[in-house]
Amino acid sequence: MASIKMENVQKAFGKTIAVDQLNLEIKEGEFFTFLGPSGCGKTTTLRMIAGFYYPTKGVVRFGDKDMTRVPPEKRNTGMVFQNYALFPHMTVFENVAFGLRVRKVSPADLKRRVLDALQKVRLESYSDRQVSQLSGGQQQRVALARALVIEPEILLLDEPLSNLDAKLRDEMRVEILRLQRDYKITTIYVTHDQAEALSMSDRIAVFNYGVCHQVGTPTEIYNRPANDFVASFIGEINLLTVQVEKVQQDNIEVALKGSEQPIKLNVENQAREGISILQTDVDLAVSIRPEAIRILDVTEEGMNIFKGKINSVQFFGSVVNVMVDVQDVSLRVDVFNTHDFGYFYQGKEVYVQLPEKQLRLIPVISGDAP
Amino acid sequence: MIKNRDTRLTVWLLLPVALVLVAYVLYPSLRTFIESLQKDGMISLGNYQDFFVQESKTNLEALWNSVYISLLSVLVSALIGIPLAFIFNRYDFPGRSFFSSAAILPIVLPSLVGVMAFMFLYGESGLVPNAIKDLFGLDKVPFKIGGVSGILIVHAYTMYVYFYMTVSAAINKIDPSLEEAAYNLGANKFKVFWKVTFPLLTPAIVAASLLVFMISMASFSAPFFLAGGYRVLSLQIYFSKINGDMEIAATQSVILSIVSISFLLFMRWYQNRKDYRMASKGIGAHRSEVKNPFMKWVMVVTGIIGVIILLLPHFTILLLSLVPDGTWTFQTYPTVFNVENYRLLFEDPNIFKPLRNSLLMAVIATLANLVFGVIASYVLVKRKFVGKSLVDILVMIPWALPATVIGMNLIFAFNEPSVFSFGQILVGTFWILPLAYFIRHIPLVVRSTNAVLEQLDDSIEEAARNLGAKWFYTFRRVIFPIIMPGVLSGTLLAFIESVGNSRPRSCCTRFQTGPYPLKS
Amino acid sequence: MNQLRMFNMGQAAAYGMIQITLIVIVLFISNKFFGIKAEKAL
Repeated sequence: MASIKMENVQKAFGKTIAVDQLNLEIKEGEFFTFLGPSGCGKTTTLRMIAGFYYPTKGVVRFGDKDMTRVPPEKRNTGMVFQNYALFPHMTVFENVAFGLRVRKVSPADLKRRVLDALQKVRLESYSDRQVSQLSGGQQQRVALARALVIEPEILLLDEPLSNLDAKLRDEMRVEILRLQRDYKITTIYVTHDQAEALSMSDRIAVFNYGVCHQVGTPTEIYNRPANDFVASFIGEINLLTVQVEKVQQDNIEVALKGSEQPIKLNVENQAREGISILQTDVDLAVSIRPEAIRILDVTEEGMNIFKGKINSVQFFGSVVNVMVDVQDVSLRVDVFNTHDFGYFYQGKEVYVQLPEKQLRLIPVISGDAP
Repeated sequence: MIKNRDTRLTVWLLLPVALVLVAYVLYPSLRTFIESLQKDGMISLGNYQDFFVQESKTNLEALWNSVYISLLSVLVSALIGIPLAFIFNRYDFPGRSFFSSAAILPIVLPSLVGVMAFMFLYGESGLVPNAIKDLFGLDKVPFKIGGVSGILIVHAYTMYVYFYMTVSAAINKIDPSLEEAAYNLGANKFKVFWKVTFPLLTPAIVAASLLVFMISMASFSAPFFLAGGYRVLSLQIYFSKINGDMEIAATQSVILSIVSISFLLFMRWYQNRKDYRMASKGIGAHRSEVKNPFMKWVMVVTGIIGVIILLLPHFTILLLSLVPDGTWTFQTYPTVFNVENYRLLFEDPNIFKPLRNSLLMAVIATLANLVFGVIASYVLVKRKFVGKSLVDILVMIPWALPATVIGMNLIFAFNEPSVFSFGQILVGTFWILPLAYFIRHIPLVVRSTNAVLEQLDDSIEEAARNLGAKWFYTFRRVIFPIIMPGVLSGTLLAFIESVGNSRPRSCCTRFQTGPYPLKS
Repeated sequence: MNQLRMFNMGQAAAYGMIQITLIVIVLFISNKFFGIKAEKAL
C-alpha cells in the first residue's frame, strides 16, 4: 500500500503534449478514478504511474520514494489491461503464478497463494484451463487475480470493463469493489464511463485534453463542477451564459442575455475559485442540473421564477424529461414519474424555479456552452 | 544522451543487427560496386561504358533478354493465376477445395529439380513427346520444349502460384456487399468486374507482378539447363566469373542489383501507399454453385487433367529417383526401378559426406538465421528508433538480389581478409556457404517473425514487466514462446532451402568437369 | 540430352524427392498446427 504523488507532471510525445501540469495526490487505500473522454490523457497518466512512460517533466512518488524513472518491473504495481493481456501460451494457474515465479517464491507457497487468489476471484476450479477457453468475464477475473496475487502496492485498472457486455459489467463492478475492499489496496481506475466512476470511486479526477480539471468525491464532482467541461461531461446539465450584475454579501446577481429579470445565486454554493473568477475576464455560465429545477403550474412568491412554455415532453420510465423554453434559452427539466405528469404537454405555459442554492457560477472553458 | 534503460536496450539490440547487416549485406555489395569501377588498374566508369556500348552488344542483349523474359513471365503467370483464383474462389463444384489446394503444388518443387523434371518430361527425348510419338507411330517427336518458350513454360508453371495465392487472398477479403451494391445500382456483370472488383484487386496483382518479375530476373536453372545457356544477365555473370573477367562480372552484378533493388523499392513504396482497406469485418466467402450439369462436369474433368499436369513433374522426379545410375542411357523409357539411389545417398561415403556437410552448413546457417531473425524482427516491430526504414530495406535486400549476385558479392568481399571475416579469407573455405545461406534467408525469417510479432499486442509484454519480470526474462518466458510458431515455420523453410540449395552447387561442379557443353 | 542421363540424375532426383517431402511436411505442420497459410510462410 502506498500513496501516490504526482508533482507538476508533463508528458509530451514529440510535439503533442499528452498530459500537462498535473498535480495529484492519491491517498493510501483509496479507490481513485481517472475519468475523461478518449485521448484526454488519463491512460497516459496511468502508464506513467506503471512506469511504461517516463514523464517529460515533473516527479512521481510512491509514498516518499521518487519513482519517476524506476522501470516498470521494479515498481510493484499490479495492472489490469483493457484487453486483459493474459499470456496465451499459459494456463490460468501459470498466468497467475507468473509474478510469483519472477519473485522466486517457494513452490509450496506459490501454489497456496495462486489458489488463494483464484479462490478470491471464484475461479479455483478453472486453474488448469487454457486462457483461450475462458469467457470474457472469466479472463477479466484471471487478470485481476494475476495482478493481486503479487500483493502490489498499487492496483492499476485500465478501462477493465469496456470489453464486457452490460450485465457482466455490473457484476464485475461489484466484484472489483469487493476485491479492493478485501485487499485494502490503493487503486487507480481509468474509465470514460461516468456511471462507473460515480458509483465506484472514493475520489475522481476529471481529465480533458491532457489537463486535469477537477479532483473530488463523486458528489463534489457532480454537485459542484469546477467548470463547464466537468459539468457537461458528467450527467446532464443546463448551462446558461450570463453576465455578472451585482456582487453582494450573501448573493450574486447575474443576467441572462436579453432578459431583464436577474438570476440570484447563493454565495455559499460557489467554490472559492468560483468567486475569484469574477475578477478575471473569462466567460461565465450558470449551471443547474435538470432534476434541480422545479416546474410550477402557477406562479408563486419566491426567487428566480421564470415564465416559460413547454417545448417537448419525453418519457423515460422513471423520469420524464420536459424541455421548457424560457425567453431565448431552452431548459431541460427532469421530473420523477409520479403517475400524474399528464398535465405536461407541448405548448403549455408554465413557470420554472431555479433554486438559488442549486445554481453554480462556473467559468466557460470549452467555448461551446449555449 | 541515453535517457533510460529502455532506450539503452534498444541500442544494445540494434547494434548487432546493424553490424551484421552492414558487414554481410551492405559491405559485400559495396565491394562489388568498387570492383566494377576498376578497369586496367584505374578507377573509371569504363566497365559501364563497355557494358552499354560494347561492340558485340552481348551484355545489352542479356539485359534486354532478362527484362523481356521477365515481363513475359509476369504476363503468362498472371494469365494462368488470376483466372484460377477467380474460378476457385467464386464458383463451387465437386472437388473444388481439393483442386484449389493442388494448385499450389508447384511451390514445393525446388527450382533446379523442377527444371530437371521438365527436361525429362518435355525435352527432345522427353517422356511425353516420345510417348505421343510411339502412340501415334510418328517419325519425329511432335514437340519439344527449349529456348525462350521453354524458359517461359517453366516460369509460368512455378510462378503462377504467386498470382494465384495473392489474388485469392485479395478476393476473399472483398466484401460481397460492395459488388451487390454495384448490382443494386444497376451495373451489369462486366461493369461490376471492371469498376469494382478489379480495382480492389490491383494492389495484390501489382505485388505479385513485381515478385514474379524479380524472381524471373534472378532465374538461373531454367535458362542454364533448359535453354542451353540462353543469354540472360544472371547467366552472363556466371560466365564472366568462370572466364575470369571479374570486373565485368562485378559490373553485370551491379546492374542486375540496381534493377532488382529498384523493383524492391517500388514495391515498398506501392505497399505503403494508402490502399483501399475493407471497412467491414468478418466477411464470409460467397461462391455461386455451378448448376449446369454439363459445365459442372467440364470443370471437374478440366480440374483433374490440370492436377495431373501439375503433378507430372513431381511424379517424374519420383520416377527418376527410382532409376539406378547408368541404367537409362539410350532407351526411350527407363527399365530398371529400385531404391538404389536412396541407399547410395545414405551409404556411399562419397555421396554421403557432402550431403552431411551440406546438412551441417544448413544447420549452422539456420541457427544464425533464427537468432538474427528474432532479434532483428523484435527491434523492427516493437522498438522505435531513427533510421528504421533503412534497416528494414537492408533486411529486404537479400530477397531482391539474385542468388548469383549474392554469391558474387561474397566473393568480392571475402576473397581477402577483412574485419568482418575476423581477418580470414573466407572464399574457398567451409564458412562461405553457410554465410551465403544465412544472408539469403535473412528476409524469409525476419518476415515470418514480423508477421507474428505484429499480431502480438504490446500489452502482453507490458503485463509481464508490470508483474516484475525483467526484459530478458519477459522475452524468454513470454514473447519467444508466443511467437515460436511463426519463427519456426520461417526457420524451417530457410533450413529446407539451405539444404536444397546445396545440391545445385554440387551438380554444377559436376557438370563443369563433365563433358556437358557448358558454354552456349 | 541422352548424355545428361549419364550423370547422377538419379541421385539428384532422390535428393530432390527428400526436399519435396520435407517442404510438404513443413507446410502441412505450419498450416495444421500453427494455422499459418502457405503464402505467409513463403
